[in-house]
Amino acid sequence: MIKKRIIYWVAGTSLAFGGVLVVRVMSQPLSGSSKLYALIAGYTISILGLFLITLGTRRKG
Amino acid sequence: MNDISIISIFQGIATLAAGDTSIAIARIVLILLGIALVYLGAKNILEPLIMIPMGFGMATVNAAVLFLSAKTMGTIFVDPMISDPAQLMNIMQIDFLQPIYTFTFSNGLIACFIFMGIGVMTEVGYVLANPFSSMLIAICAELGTVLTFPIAVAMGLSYNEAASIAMVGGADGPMVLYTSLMLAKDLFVPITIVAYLYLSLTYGGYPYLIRLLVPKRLRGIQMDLSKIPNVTPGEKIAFSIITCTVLSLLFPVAAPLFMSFFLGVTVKEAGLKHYISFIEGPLLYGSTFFLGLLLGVLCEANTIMNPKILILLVLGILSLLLSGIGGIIGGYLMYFISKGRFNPVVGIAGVSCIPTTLKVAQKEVTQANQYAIIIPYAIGANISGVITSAILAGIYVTIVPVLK
Repeated sequence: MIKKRIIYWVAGTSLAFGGVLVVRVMSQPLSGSSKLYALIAGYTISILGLFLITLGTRRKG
Repeated sequence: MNDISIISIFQGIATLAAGDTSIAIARIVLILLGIALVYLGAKNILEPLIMIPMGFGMATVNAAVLFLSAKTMGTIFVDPMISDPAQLMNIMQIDFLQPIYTFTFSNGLIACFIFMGIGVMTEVGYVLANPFSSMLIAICAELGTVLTFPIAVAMGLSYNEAASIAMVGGADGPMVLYTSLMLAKDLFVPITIVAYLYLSLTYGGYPYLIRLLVPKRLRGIQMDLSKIPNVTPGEKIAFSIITCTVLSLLFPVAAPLFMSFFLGVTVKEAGLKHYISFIEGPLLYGSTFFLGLLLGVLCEANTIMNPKILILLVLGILSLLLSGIGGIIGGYLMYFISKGRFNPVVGIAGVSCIPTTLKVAQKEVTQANQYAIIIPYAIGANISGVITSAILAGIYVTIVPVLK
């Protein structure tokens, strides 16, 4: 159970920072619509990462 | 003996006659409105913590216009339009509220203090316990914030002004203040006033929206509270610091808001009692008091009289109405996803007016079924609403300035 939660935390955090990497680094040299798509993808990945972290806290009270 | 002009003695009255007639009428209307706000605040019809200092400031500043020189009229309260540093240094020694305005208001510090106080009072564990329902509802409850933007542009506002007034749909006063200060400094006074006036009306208006959109049978749905997981303080702190860092990396312009909120959450979860009592006591209430007072004082007729005020009034109420409808749509989505076990009234709590919408939701549910409790789910939606509003503020502040 603990191992599963750790996986959620590590995967969520990695995904969230991966999204940041797309937004702040990978999208910079791009321009036009490809930059827009990269930004949207990056923001979405980051938010999904944060959502994944919340799943790591789920257990019965 | 020299003639003593009655005008030179009672300058507040004399300036009414000396200036523009429309400004004089606006001053009288604002004095009456200020008195009405104090009365409504004292009677608890409107939020007293904001409305009493705001009404007092509004009535007094419009009564206290005087001749600053032979040709110019003004007050010795605050001058929000000064930007020249030399003039600012001079005026700070004359206008008694200018230091507070310059050092806490115009740079958004007061909004951050209030956000820190909200963070300290927030139980983020409910978001972590029900992430899907909380976030889905909160996203739906941003309907007004999203839809009002193109409507405002279509009504003739600039992108910056449209984004600022659209933030009223986020139902978070400090957020509206922060966004309008960043994007539309010329209009931030009327936009913030409109926001706070409407936000204090949500307690009276949203119950009717709930009754209109949710039948009594559904309002009385009893939710299962036994499935709510426990979240440890350590997990809440870890979530707060990671989320704050990620959001600050994504939206650096809104980082002060993120930091203030999540720092408040962390201080609470770390159990730092002295900080908690300082932030949720003197800091939060002191900031709220001066926010109300300064907003009132900024309602001087010359400052607030703007041809766009009517459009702002319409868009503000539209934005809040759409967000309320969006929140209830979110509640209905969860009702269908959970196959009828989720009370759709929780949706209204996605509108992040902490804790007003939360109280409204529970009150309406209790009226339909006195045994039904939705508070844990509503808190989750409420706090997610604050976070999504902050994210939308970040998106607007980051993206709108680069739009052409």
